[in-house]
Amino acid sequence: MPIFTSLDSRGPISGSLLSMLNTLPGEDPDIGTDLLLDTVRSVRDAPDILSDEDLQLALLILYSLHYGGLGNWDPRWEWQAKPLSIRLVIEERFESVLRGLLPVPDLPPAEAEAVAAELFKLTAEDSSPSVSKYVARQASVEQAREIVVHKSLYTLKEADPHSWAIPRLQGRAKAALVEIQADEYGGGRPDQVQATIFAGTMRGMDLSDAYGYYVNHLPALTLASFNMMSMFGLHRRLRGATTGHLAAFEMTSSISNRFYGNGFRRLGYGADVTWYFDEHVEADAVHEQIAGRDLAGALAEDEPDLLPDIIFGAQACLYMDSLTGAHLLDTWNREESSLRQPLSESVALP
Amino acid sequence: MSSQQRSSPSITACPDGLLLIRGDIELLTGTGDEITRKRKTIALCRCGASTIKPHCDGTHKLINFTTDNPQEPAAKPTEKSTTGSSTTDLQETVSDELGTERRTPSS
Ligand code: FES
Repeated sequence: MPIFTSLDSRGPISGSLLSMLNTLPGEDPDIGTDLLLDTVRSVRDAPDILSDEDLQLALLILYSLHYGGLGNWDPRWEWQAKPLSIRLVIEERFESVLRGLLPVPDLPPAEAEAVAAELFKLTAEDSSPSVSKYVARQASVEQAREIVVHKSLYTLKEADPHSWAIPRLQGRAKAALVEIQADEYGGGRPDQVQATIFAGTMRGMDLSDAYGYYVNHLPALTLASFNMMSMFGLHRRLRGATTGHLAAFEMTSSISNRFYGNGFRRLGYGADVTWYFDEHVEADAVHEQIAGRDLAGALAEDEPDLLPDIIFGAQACLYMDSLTGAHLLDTWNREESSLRQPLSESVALP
Repeated sequence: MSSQQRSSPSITACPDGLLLIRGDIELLTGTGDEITRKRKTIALCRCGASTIKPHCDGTHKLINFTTDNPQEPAAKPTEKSTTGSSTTDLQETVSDELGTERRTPSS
């Protein structure tokens, strides 16, 4: 039986949502009606939905109904009309804000090699401040633990958000996505599942590896990065964005994981902690090629209408990375914690 | 893309990067020892700058490795580099990029 961390609400929407989920579906037919109207208003008035603590937490909770792992709620909530409607209201604005911020550039021809080249170019041009370089050179133990906590929201579910797209792709693109994901899921060896290896990293740093243990610590931007992947993955129409996101994610991974591995070694951590990062240096050099050419590239050839979304997904990945990276480096430069509340010295494992 | 059977091995020469190896293929060191293969599909370095040879670690992107062949033989056969910077310069740039610590291949 998993132990769930009690989630702190961050405003009226996440607060009312948590109250609703603590009831049984159907118990009160009117429950959620006011919440839906309040969400419409809150979404409309939100100055910046990407950093809106209340709405991003609500979205995270709503997605967790599909993934599991965040609360001991009645599982039938997953397919109830109210939570789904609330989710759609938030997603609509979330997606339109991202699209507004990231106009699609000149598109390459819808040919696998050209699409891969464009994705490599986009990710190489990305000039976002490098958190991994900071970790390699100067991060403190406390900052290293913070970065692992930020990463844990996705990495303890590594590969899952993109896997939603598997049945939504066909042929070459499907085979390529499965080829990558099979490797992420350990190629049939449970001890090699990337999320499991990352859990070892967390334990090695005296952190809890229980999913959701640190959600109350994580700022909206970290939630938004994960929410964006879930939004892309859970909407079939956004499968192009999922493939572009995964390609950009893999293309920016092998070198930064080398920096992380070196940083954690500099701080004195052993192979139990660095295994995850070292593993990704080799793995993602493979994955980025498959993701660029055989996944995103083949999808563009097979479904050329999806090409703009493939590029959008890649841009969105880089953009959210740059926002979270800037947040981390800004707070650390001010000698503050990058989390909503600093980590305690040591954590009692549940 | 090829229409070959999944079981037959293939090598994809990725532009400006590695060689992607799929399928059943024996991977040996110069002395004939088997190189352990941790995953089904693997990437072999062909830029020479990887820190986990024979595998690729993505360094080819940092050194702007290109697989384009020069239009005309720009360099005499005795000159190794056609890029203008020596291997040592590149190594220094890369090692500076990566900070002082280098990863040991065996970890
Ligand atoms: S080909 Fe990738 S590091 Fe050499």
